[in-house]
Formats: sequence, C-alpha cells, structure tokens
Amino acid sequence: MKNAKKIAIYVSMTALILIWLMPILYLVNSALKSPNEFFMNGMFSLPQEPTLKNFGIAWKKIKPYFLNSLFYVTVSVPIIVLLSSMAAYALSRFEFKGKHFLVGLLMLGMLLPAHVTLLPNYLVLKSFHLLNKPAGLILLYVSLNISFTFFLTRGHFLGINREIEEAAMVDGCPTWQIFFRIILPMSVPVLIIALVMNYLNVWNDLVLSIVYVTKDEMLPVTAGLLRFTEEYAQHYERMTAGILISIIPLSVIFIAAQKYIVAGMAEGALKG
Amino acid sequence: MNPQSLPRSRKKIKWTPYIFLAAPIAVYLVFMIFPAVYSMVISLFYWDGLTNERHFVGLDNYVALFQSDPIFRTAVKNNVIWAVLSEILPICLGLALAVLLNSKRRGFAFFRSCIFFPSVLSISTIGLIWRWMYDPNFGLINAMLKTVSGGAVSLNWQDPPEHTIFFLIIAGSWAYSGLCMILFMAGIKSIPESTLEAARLDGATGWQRLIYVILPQMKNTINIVLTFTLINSFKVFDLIYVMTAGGPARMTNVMATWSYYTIFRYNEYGTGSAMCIVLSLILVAGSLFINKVVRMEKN
Repeated sequence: MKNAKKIAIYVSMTALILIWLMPILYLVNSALKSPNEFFMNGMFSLPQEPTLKNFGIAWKKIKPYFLNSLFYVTVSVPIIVLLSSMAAYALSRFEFKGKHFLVGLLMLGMLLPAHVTLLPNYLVLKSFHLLNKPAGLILLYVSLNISFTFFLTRGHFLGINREIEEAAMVDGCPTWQIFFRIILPMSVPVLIIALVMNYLNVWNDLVLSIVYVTKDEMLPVTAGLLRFTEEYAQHYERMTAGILISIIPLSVIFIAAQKYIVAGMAEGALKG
Repeated sequence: MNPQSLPRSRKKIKWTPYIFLAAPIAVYLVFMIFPAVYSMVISLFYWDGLTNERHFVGLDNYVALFQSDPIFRTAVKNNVIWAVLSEILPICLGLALAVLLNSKRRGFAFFRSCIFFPSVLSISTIGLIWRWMYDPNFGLINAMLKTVSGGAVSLNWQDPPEHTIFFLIIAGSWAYSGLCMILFMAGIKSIPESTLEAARLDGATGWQRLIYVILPQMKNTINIVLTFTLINSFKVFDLIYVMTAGGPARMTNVMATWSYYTIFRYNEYGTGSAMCIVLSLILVAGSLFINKVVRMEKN
C-alpha cells in the first residue's frame, strides 16, 4: 500500500516535469532531425536517424556572438561588483554630508526602467564615438547594474561585525587595505551571488545590444541569435539547434551555482 | 602609538569615502541619472531626430500621447492586462508547485531544479522557444491540436491580433513561475516546524493546513512577490520584442516596446521620451506608494 502510494507520487511528479519541460524537449527533438525528416514524418515523431549535424552548422554561425558575450561578461561583471562594493563600503562605514541623498539616488536606479536612459545614452555615446564599441556597451552594463549590486553588498556589509576593522584601524591599517583584506574576504558568499547574478544579467541582456550595436560582428549572443533565427527561418532543424546551443552556458552556470542563483534571485525580489 | 598620527588619520577618514565613491558614482551619474533627466528635457521638445532642430512644445507631447495616440492607449491597456494576469497565473502556479514540491523525499530537489530552470534562461531565448511552440505549421501546440481533432482544429496565435497578447503572457508565465515557486518555498521554510506539527496533531488535513496555517503565515512573502511582479510587469520588453515586435497590427505593444519603436524606428524623439517618463513615473510612484502601505501595515 505504502509502496503503491510512493510509486504514484513519483510517476505523477515525473509526468509533471515532462510536461513542464516539454518546450525544451520538443526543441531537442526537432534539432536532432534531418531537414527531410521534418517534412516527411509528423511533428511528434522521434528522429529516425538522430544527427548532430545541425548543431555543427549552428555553432559555426553562433560562435562569434558567443565569444562576444563571453568578452562583455568577463570584462563588465568584475567591474560592476568591484565598483558597487566600493560604493557600498563608503556608504555603510562612514558618516558624511549627503550620504542619505546618495543612497536614495542609488535606489532610484533600481526603480527606473532602462528605457528612460536609452535615447540620451545613445546621443551621448554617439557624440563620443562609442557606438559599436565594446567600451560603450560595457560602461552601460556597469551603470545599469550598479544599483542592484550596491544594495546587495551593502546589506551584507552593514551586518559584518566591526571589531576586526576597528582593531585594524587602531593599528594604523589604511582604509583601502581594510576594504580589500578584511571586508571583501569576509563577504565571499555575497560576492559570489553578486557575480552570478550579474553574469546572468549581462549575458541575458537584449535591449542594450539592439540599441547600441549595429555591427553584426559585435553582437552578443542574445541579439545574434535573433539574427541567426531570421536567417534560418525556413531551416527549422538548424534554428532549433541554435537556440539549444545558446542555452548551454546558462545550463552549466545553473548546475554549478544553483544555490547562489536561488539566493540572489530571492534577494533581488526582496529588495525590489 | 605615535600621538601625532591621530589627527592625520582623522583627516584622511574625511576624504576616504569620497575616494571610494568617485568612480561608481561618476559612472552612475553620467549613464543613469543624467540620461533620466535629459529624457525629461527631450520630452518637452518636438524633435524628429534627423536634424538638430528642436522646438520647445511644453507638455504637448504628453497631451498628444493620451489624446491622439491610439497605440499608446493599447500599450497601457496591455501593460495592465499583463500585470493583472501575471499576478494570477505564475503566482498561483508557483504557489501550487511550492506546496507540491516542498518535500524532503529523494529526487524532489531535482524536480524543483527542473521547474526553476526556465527562469534562468534569457527572455529572448524564452521568446524564441515559444515562437517555435506556437508556430502554425510546425509548432507542438498546433501539432497536438491537429492530431487530437483529426486535422479539424488549428490555432493561429497571431489571429485575431487582440488575443496574441495572451499567448505572450503564457510564455512569460512559464519562465516566471519557477522563480515564484522558489520565493514561496523560502516563505514556507520560514514557518516554524512546531506550528505545522501542532496543526498535524490537531488533526488538520493537508488542505486545512495549507489554508489555515501555511497561507496566513506567508502573508509577508506573498506581499513581496505580488509587488515584485507588479513592478516587473511594467518593465516587460524582451519577450514582446522577440516574439511579435509589437505586432500584428501593433496590437501587442506595451509602453516599453512602443516607446522604443517610437524613438528608434519612427524617430519621434519627443513623444518617445514622454512615454519613457510616463513609464518611469508609474514605476517610481507605484513603488513608493506600495512601500508606504507596507510600512503603515507594519506599524
């Protein structure tokens, strides 16, 4: 009796998961088919002769976009986390005029939609000849993600016990050393959350790349994938393979850092 | 300790916060706050973006939005529909999944990961996946309908255009429910075990425990998730841009997409900026209002 119940639970859960992930499974099923099979057999049929050829073709096209995204993420995410935690340190440890004003100003950045900055930043980047330049895009990634990362790290800094810092300060340890040698090492978990969340934010960004990048060879993978799917709109098997390839790095991050993603998303929602 | 070093270090402390703040605040001011203010200025001008010629028109752009731009009205309506339905669909689903999957049984952690996984994907990928699901010729949903009905019933998600927005919301909900589940799960975890145990001993069934014990204790979490969802549903852009580009017949625009097209496709800088300002005002005022209500409730 008890066993029967257990089996029933697991069978229904598995069914639930299969239905839930059906869009992705269907994508896999389509990507493994050959072009002819697509039109001969019905949509439901499993691939008769599964082929990975589609992935090869898709990867060739998507690879440059992929490397671009990797570059943008690798450069901008450490900058975001470093700058935000510097601001968080200053605004959690020192008393000075205008402190509360600055905290409020940074709060505004979480409320405002990115759209309100699109046109003015476009005009600014244009006048500095930074359109279609990685530097321009990276600056914007930094400015858009500072607020959220600031509140994430500041919340943690405020909770750190100050005895060690005060002891170090009495010993004449310079402030920047306190920051790099004491505060940051004591905040590793929250810094990992910040890194992972910003990795996702920057990797998944679409709107900045469609506004500020027009050159194909500079597009990150989100916007590149759109170009790709337009180009192969009639080649369903290649299109689906391309979509799957773009999912892979996120899946890897997800499996490796699920704990931090869950914590970071919960934190982000609470702060919002 | 050298007594002379004290005053010097005091002096240093005065400057230290500014040294730490200089770089982040500079980037933030130049690329976030200045643009927001500049948008406000542009919204007061008529400017076609092609030349540098601008005419000051005061609030005319705002008046025009509400009086003579039917698409803007559609966009606001769609934002409201999106907000209302996202408060219902993914939140109910997320809550149900959280209750269902909140178990220490073996394998349930894996089930939870599977449900949560779509929340990690980029919205543009979600859009492409669902465009493929809805594809009238090769999409899974149509294939299923055709098989079940023997070819009699088929579904075109872009016809009529007024209904397309609902298909988009379903796609968005699929991606968002997993996150809701995770947030609710955290809420359930914070309920003391003894409370649940007491209810169990008193003979409460699963349903009774859910309605009389778990839900009331999660009031706070539910409030937070509702607020977060509300704010995010006014920011939606990527999914619509990828799936329909605001079409067919411009019927699936929201404020974010319509302002984007107005500025970058139709070069109407003034009107487009006015839309962005309206959207920003809604978001800032809404958040402050909700914050105040929550704080008042707490006192």
